[in-house]
Amino acid sequence: MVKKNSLKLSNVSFYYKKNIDVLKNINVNFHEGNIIALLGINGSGKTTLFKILTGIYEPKNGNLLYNDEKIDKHNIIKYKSNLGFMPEFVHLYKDMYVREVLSLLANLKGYKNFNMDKILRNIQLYEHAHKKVKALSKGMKQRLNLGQAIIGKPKIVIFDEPSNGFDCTSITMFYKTLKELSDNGSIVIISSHHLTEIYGNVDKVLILSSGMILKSIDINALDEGDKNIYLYINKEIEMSLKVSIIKKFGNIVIKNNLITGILSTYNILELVKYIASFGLIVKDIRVESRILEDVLINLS
Amino acid sequence: MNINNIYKISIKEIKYNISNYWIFLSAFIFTALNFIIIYFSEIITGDYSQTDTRALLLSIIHLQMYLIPLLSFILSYDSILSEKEFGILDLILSYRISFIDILFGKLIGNTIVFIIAFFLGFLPVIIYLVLLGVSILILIKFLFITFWLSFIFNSFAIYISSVSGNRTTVISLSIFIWLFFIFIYDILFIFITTMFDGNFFSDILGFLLFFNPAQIFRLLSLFYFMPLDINDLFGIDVGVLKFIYIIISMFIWVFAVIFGFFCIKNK
Repeated sequence: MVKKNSLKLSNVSFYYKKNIDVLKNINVNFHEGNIIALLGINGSGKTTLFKILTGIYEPKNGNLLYNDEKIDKHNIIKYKSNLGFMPEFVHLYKDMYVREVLSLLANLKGYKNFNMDKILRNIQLYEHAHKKVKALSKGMKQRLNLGQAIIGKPKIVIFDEPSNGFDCTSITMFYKTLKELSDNGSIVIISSHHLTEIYGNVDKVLILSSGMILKSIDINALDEGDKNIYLYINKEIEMSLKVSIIKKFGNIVIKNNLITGILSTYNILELVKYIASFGLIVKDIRVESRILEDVLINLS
Repeated sequence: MNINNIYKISIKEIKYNISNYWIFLSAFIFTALNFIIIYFSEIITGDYSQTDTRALLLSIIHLQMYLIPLLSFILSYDSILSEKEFGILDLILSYRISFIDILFGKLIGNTIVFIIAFFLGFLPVIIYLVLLGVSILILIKFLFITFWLSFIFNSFAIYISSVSGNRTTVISLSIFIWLFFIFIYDILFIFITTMFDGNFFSDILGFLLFFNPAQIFRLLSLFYFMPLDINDLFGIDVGVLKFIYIIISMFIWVFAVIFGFFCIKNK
C-alpha cells in the first residue's frame, strides 16, 4: 500500500523570548490532496508557524511529524527536500536574468535537471525569461517567486501571502497551479488576507489567533448564510427600476450597471429572475461567502 | 556541514558579484590606486627613469594593507543582512541547506570574488614590478597573503552581518573594526613602544602584532620583499617575529574564524 503524504504539528509551541509564546499548543494535521488556508490577523503567528513548517525554526515544545516521523536536526535536510516555499517578501537577485535565477535556485534546491521552460510557461514568464529581475513588474517577480517554489514538484508546498501583487490573470493561474499540485498528491498550505479569493479555492480553513488554532472550517460547509454578490448587467439600470429593486430586496447598492449587496442564496436567484423579467441580461455574477469575513472581523 | 552546499552557495556568490559588476569595479580601484602610488613614488625620486623600488614596495604593501580589509568589508558587510532583509535567507534556509553551509559558502565565495578582483586589478602592477626586477616567486607569495588577508576580513564582515540586526549597526561595526585594525592598533603599538622606549615587556611586545591580521600581512610582506630591514621597521625586540611564528599565527586566525562561525551557528 502506498503511504499517504501527511504532515502533523503535535502540541507545538514557540517563543522568541521566554514566557511570551507566539504559538501555543498547536495541533494540526495536513494531508495530501488538500489545500489548506491559514487565516489570521497580523501578529497571529502565521509566519512563525510557516517557519516551523519549513524547518527554519525548531519548535520549542512539541513535534513536527512528516509521514509520522519526527523531524529533528538529524533528518531536517531530508525533510526539506520535500518542501517548496514561497515566502511573503522575497526580492530575488535583481541583477540576474530570470532564467539564471531559476536555474540558480533550482541548483540550490538540488535539482540540476528540471524542465525550466515548462515552469516558465506555468508561471507565464516564458516571454520574459531573458529579462533581468529588476526589469520585472511586482506581479512578475511574485510569479518568479512562485516558480522557484514549485521546482521539483514538492510534496509539501507552503505559500505565505502569495497573491500580493498578483493581477486577476495571475491569481487564476496561481490557483490553477495549486489545484494541480494538490491533485498530484502534494500537501498545499497557504496563508492569505484575501478571504474572497480563498473561498472556492481551498478545502479547509484554519483560523489562527494569538498563536492558537481557534477554528477549523470545512469550506464545503460554508454554503449557508448571506453572501456578497456582484451582479453585472448588460446596460445601465433606469432610476424607476433601481427604486423598485431596492424596495424589493433591501440591502442593495446600484451603480451604473453593477448591483452589489448582501443576500441569501434564495434572494440572489430571485433578484436574477426579477431583473430578467425587465428584459435585462446578467452579464456576470460573483457570489462570495461572508462567513470567513465574519469570523475574522470578530477576531479583530 | 555539507561541502556540496558550500560549493553551491560560493558559486551563487561569484555569479551574483559578476552580474552586479562588483568584481570589475574593485579591480579598477586596485589598478587605479596602485598606479597612483607608483606615479607618486616616481615623482618623489624626481627621476622617471629611476624608481626607488624599496619605497615603492613599501607603499604598495601599505596600500594593500588598507585597501584589502576595506574592500573585503564593502563586499561582505551586508552579505547575510541583505539576504535577511530581502527574504532570501529564509527562502534558502527552507531548501536543504543549513546556516553554517551559507556562512562558509559566502566566506569562500566572497573570498574568491575578491581574489578575482584583486588579481585582475593587480595584474598590471605585477607586470610593472617584474619589469623593475622584483622576483615573480615573491610576488606569487605576496598574492597568497593578500588572499589570506581578504579571507580573514571577509569573515569578520560576514560575522558582523550575521549577528547584527540592522544596517546601521553593521556599518558602524565594520568601520570601527577596519579603523581599529588598520589605524588604532598601529597607533597604540607605536605609543607603547615610544613611551617605554621599547622596554615595556619587550620580550612579548612583538607577539601583540600577531593579534592583528593586518600586521601579520605587513610582517610577512616585509619578510618577503625586504627581509633584512624588518627589525628596524618596528623598533622593538622582534625576536618573536620569526617566519615560522608568523605562519603559525596565520593558521590560528583561520581556525579562529572557523570557530567563530560555529559559534554563530549554535547561537
